[in-house]
This record gives sequence, C-alpha cells and structure tokens, in this order.
Amino acid sequence: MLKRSFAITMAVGALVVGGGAASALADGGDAGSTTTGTTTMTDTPTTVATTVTTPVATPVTVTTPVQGDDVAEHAANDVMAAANGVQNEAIAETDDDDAGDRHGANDDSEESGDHGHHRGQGNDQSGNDDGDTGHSGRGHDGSDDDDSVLSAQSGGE
Amino acid sequence: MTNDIRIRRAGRILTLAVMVGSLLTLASTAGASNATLRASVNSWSRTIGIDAHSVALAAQNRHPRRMTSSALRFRSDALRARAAVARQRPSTTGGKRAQKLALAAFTDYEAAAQGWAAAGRARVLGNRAVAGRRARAAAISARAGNKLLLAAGRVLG
Repeated sequence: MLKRSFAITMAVGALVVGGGAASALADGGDAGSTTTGTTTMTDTPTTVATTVTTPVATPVTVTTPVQGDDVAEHAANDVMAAANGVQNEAIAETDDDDAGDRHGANDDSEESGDHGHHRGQGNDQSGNDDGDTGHSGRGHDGSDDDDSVLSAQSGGE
Repeated sequence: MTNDIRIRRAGRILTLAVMVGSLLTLASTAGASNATLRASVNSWSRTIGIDAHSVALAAQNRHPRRMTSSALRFRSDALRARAAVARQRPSTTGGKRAQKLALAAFTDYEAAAQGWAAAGRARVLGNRAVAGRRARAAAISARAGNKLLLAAGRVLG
C-alpha cells in the first residue's frame, strides 16, 4: 500500500516537475522554478496576442496620403470650370453666327462656315481635328489626335 | 485547490484578453471600411476631375463634338463611381453619411454630364437656344454635385 502510494506520488511529482521544466524552458526561464498553474497563465495570453494582431495588419487600404478634402476640392474646381466652359460655349454662340473667328475657334470643324477663317493665323497646328482637310496651307497630317495642340492654342482662353 | 483558483483566474484573464482582442478587431475593421470608402471616393473624384478638365478644355476650344464625347466619358465615370461607392460598407455613422453624400454627388454629376452632352449635341446641330438651356441646367447640377462631394470629403476627413 505504502509502496503503491509512494509510486503514485513519485509519478505525479515527476510529471509536475517535468511539465514545469518543459514550459519554463519554452519560456526561456529557469528549469524547475515554475509550477503548472503559472505556465498556463503565461502561455495563453501570447497565443491570444497573435490572434489580435493579425486582423490589424489586414486593412491594406491606406493608399491615400492626400487629404480627402483636397481631392474633392480639386475635382469640384474642375467640374465648375467645365460647367462654366460649356455654358460660355453655348451662350457665346447665341448672339451671332459661326462665321466669325472671335473666339479663336481654330479647329472647330463641326461649325458650318468655319472653314477658311483660320488662314493666315500663323499657328503651327498639325492635324487638328476630324474634317479639317479643307484648311489650306497648314500641313495637316490627317491624324485626329489633337490633344497636344490644345495647350498651344491661345485664342479660346 | 490553489491550482483551481489559478486556473480559474487564468480563464478569466483569457476571456478578458479575447474580449479586448475582439474589440480591437472591430475597431480596426471599422476604420478599414471607412478608409476604403475614402480611398474609393478620392480615386473617383480624381477621375471625375480629369474628365471634367477635358470637357472644359473642349468647350474652351470650341469643340462641341469633342465636348460631347468628353461629357459622355464623364457621365460613364460618374456612374461607375456611384456603383463603386455604393459597394462600400462603412461601419460608422459618419462613414454612412459620407457615402450618402458621395452617392448623391455622383448622381448630380451624372445629370450634369448628360446636360453637357445634350448641349454639345444641340450645339453641333446649330440649336443654340437648346444648347444654352441644357448648359445652364447642367451647371446647376454640377454645382449641387460639388457641394455634396465637398461635404462628403469633409466628413471623411
């Protein structure tokens, strides 16, 4: 009886000491100085901490260092400029026919009677717009790409 | 007995840590969804601004046909912006308010673009009275859209 109880005590003791030593070694501490109770306390928060930190890393959308207000303001300014531009374009033509060149309409091929008004302007446009082939002495290359020309035009601005 | 108390205490600490972790996770995802909304609004605002700039440029240079095509591009981008912003799921009240404002802004921009395109078409056809009316109506929509977009930008910060 005594032998059996001694054996059980020894076995339990060995388990406790072995477990404590193992967890203490895992924690980097001294072997045998901790008990099983404390190891469960120290080990579990570390695993929780990892589950907490991972979601924080997931949001990838911090791609806008610019203030939202600034971007909106820029866009609003551009939209307002467009609105005013379209309005001016529509209003400016209401009082007269298209025959004049007042607005510096260099390459507005859509307007009837606009051909021929660009002669002698001296601008060095090449390939202004579609249907511009009627203009004389300009050296058109027939291409429709006129975006590069826009900044060079000064009459309409 | 003491081990039991320790285990219970460890359990309590664990529960507390999990609760704090979930709170942190919730807070971070809320911030993430608002940040995603801000990024979306900003990026589409930029696109809209670029489109508006090309509308303004075409109008200034008296290119009604190009103005119409730019306005149509502006319109399709406004619609895409609206769809993109609608897909966002802001978690905070401020974020939801900003989303509503941005959606309304892009709806107004879409209306403005339709007006610009109509004005351009009328202008090409030589119907200047209609062009003027459409341009004026479009300017009202554009102004309303600007106010809403700026308000959304302010809310998003």
